[in-house]
Amino acid sequence: MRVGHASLFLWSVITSRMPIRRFFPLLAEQLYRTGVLSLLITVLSGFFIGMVVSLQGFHTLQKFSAEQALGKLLALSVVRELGPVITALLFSGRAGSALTAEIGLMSTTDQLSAMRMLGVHPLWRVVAPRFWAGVIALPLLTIIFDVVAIYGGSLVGVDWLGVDTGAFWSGMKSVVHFGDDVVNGIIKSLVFAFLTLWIAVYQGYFCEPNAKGMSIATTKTVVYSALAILCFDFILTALIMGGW
Amino acid sequence: MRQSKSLYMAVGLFVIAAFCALVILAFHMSDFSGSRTGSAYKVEAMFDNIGGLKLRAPVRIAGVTIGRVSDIELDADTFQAKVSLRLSSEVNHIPIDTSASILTEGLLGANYISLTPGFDKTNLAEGSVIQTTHSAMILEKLIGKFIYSKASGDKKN
Amino acid sequence: MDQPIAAINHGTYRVSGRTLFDDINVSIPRGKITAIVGPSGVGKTTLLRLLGGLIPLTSGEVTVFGEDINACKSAKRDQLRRRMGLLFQQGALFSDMTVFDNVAFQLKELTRLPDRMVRDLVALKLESVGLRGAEHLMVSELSGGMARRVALARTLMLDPSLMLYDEPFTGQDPINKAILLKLIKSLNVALNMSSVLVSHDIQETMAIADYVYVLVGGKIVAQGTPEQVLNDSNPVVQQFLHGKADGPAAFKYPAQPMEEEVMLD
Repeated sequence: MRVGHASLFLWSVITSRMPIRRFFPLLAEQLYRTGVLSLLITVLSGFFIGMVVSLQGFHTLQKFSAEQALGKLLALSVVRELGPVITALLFSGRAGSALTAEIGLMSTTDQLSAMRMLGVHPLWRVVAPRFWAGVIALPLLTIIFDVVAIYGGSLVGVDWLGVDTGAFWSGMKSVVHFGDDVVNGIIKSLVFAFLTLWIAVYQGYFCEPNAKGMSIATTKTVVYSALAILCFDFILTALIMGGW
Repeated sequence: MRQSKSLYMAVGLFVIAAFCALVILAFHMSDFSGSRTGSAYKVEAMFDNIGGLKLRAPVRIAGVTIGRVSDIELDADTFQAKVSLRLSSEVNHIPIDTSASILTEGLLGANYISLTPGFDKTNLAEGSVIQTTHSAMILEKLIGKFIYSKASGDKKN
Repeated sequence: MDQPIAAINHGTYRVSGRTLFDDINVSIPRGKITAIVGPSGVGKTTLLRLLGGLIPLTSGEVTVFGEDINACKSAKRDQLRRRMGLLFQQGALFSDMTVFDNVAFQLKELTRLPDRMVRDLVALKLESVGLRGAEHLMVSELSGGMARRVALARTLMLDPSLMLYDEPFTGQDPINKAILLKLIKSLNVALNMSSVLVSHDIQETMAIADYVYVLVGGKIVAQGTPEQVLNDSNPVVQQFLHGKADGPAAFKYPAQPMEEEVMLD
């Protein structure tokens, strides 16, 4: 029912035709709003997550006298799970809700109707650029998160806790398969991006045109996105790790 | 809507930063081998027991990785494991009487293939089959042997 | 020219169980100013949206420029919309853009005109609403009246042949009302447009309308020239047009007699 409605909406967003020369400026502006402005929260979170994983990991590994495996532990957890999932959750909270609110406000104040009456369909002018910008931005942000997290973790592990730097990095390099782990992580984040952006623009476009409606819509975006991300994370992980 | 130059620059930097991060991830934090797309040649070896050998396990000479396991099949006639090895073209002077053994990383680690070079003048090429192979050591068999020899040793005394 | 530029034929519109319009027939003649008046909440804004094809009728047809606006494809509909304009009650300007960007919108999105030409055309349109020089202002910096005039300039950019005005006088001070009156009239003449005016400001509307429809309770209760309608004998029409507090539209909301409510013995 609602999923069907939302699917049709998604289809019309993806297939909306727009003048080619308008595409890049609009896309660039949205890439800035969703991507560049999310950089700060992504980098900071990446840093802290990396450091915490390193810290916790060290103390756990110590019990097995396996501290040298810290690099492997950190890199694999970040690249496979923490990077894609946490970046996506943060993104849905920051950029996703902002998107819903923005589109919702335009809908409430008749701006979308006005645009339609001027012969310009908001689907390609307003919704599509924001959608594609988000789908592009999230994987890029995930990659940055991965690197920052691993680096932050290395600061804690090597510089602070004294894990041997050689063991840390070479262990990591031997166990992180680029094709499997890194690329699959990016694929995960692409799937999350699709889901999050879809939910965000749908909620904004079809929210009730009043203040209460908008707040409900933004809440829904954050909650549904989070659930979708976690649910699909499980599904994708099961597929990737085999055994599904 | 005036597209300010600084906006384009910011977006450009963002994309470049992400790309640099990807490169760092690839070369500094994972096992990305530049020669992944490099040319390679395929060689086969038959094993009685491959133990825990997995696809893409490393193939090493003297501990240095020169290739990967690209395929593992069961030979229907001999009931042996037919393992295909994808070796880097840069290492093309491996003698044809080289032997292949399945070793373990550390005590309980993953299996990999170790090649011990022979002395023949002819080299392995695309499609060659390695004749001498040593299967994986199965831990249970080792322990069984140990217990058995210990028991018979006690009996003698 | 007999062909009306737009029309609603046997239009019925129902939403959430309520019947807003019951088999109404509205015909918008060319080159004239047509007014649709009625009490608040009767659905006048909805009527304009129906004309613009923003919402579909439950039954009946809406014809604009000879085409059924709901039956045609999205692209054709957009084409038809470029020949008409709808001025929203609140202006509905794009809040994240400047005045210039708002007014230049249609040119920027739908044409490839060079920047200099766009600037000149925008300046011309702003001049006609008396706001040339305000291009750089952000929407949030405009007063209500100014916002509406900017919206008007924006809507006029491609010289539409049919203009729809949604309650243009509501909430405006007398000076703004006079300005708007003058603008609507002169634009209709100068640009050879047909205009539809929806309002409950009787005085202003009657002053410039050529033809009036009175909409009460989902039906057209009267239509004709302003003089004809003002003299219509229907008590419903009389109460509304002459602003009588009580009449067929009751002043009191239905409730128990006061004595029962307050429980006086």
